[in-house]
Amino acid sequence: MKRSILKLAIIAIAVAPVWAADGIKLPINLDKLGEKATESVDVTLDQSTLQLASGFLSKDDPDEAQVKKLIGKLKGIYVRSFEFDKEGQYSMSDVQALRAQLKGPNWSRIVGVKSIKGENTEVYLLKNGDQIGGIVVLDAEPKELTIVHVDGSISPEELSKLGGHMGIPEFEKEKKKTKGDRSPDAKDDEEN
Amino acid sequence: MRRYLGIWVLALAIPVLLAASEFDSLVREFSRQTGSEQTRIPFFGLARFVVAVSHPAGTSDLKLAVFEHPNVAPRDFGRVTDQVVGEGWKRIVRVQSRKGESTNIYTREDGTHLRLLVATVDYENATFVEMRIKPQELMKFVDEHRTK
Repeated sequence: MKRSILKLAIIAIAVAPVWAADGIKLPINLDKLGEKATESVDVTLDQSTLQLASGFLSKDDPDEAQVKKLIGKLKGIYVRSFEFDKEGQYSMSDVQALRAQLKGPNWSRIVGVKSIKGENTEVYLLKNGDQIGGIVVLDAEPKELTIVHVDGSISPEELSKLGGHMGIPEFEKEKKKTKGDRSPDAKDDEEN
Repeated sequence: MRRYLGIWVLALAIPVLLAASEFDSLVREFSRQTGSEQTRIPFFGLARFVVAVSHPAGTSDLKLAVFEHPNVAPRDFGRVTDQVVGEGWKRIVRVQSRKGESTNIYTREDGTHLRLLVATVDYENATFVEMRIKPQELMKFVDEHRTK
């Protein structure tokens, strides 16, 4: 399942561009979920951290210049993930404060997937003129909740050029690999 | 010739030894706050020297501190490490498990390098690892080993 979420996050970032001026805030009550969760993950790459990373990249190296350009437009990347040992240890009301922010006029829900297993995945985009201003991915399952927030501008073309660098998979290779992959995760993805 | 070699080795070793002070104070503070005692690792100084000379994967310095049976609850470990690492560090990753494991990754700028500090605790050990890296070289290393 973790692989599915990772793939989803990569796809989401690829589809989107920018996280706009009116950024969202992750609800404080999400931190409280960490106390109930068997495992919680918190990744916080704010603008200063991204700029710090960007500062080490060379403008002269084409690959690094590409990454530098891409990172320069980002304001932050945030991931919160919680795994629970039992169902019902969180409710959608726990993420309601986040959802309320995603109902603004500039936000659009572009993907909504529900399965009979109780999995619920939503992808929201923030429009910023002709560009996309940001992206939020909500993945809620009976025993798992994941929120990915990419804040900043990034185009799919730029992102695709990053394949094979910084540990990001090459998208063409990944597609071929997925076709031949018969792992439980892959089957799960197809079923859904 | 041997004398020159000795001077060269000493010249390389001095910056490594001096740079250890900040990490040492972090370790001492953790030890003071939790009452845990650091475990000595034989020949780790030699490993540090090799890293300082050969720069594997863009790493030019490596520090390690291990505490066996640390006197800190995994739930509190993140809070304690946030305190002991100080303001210069920025936490980028925190993973906590109710099974008794916790990992925290911090970063800070160091001139043309980046410092990464990984603090982790499990059932038996608390471990602090600090690395001084060149991000470009580390990225190349990751990319090369991903394709293999």
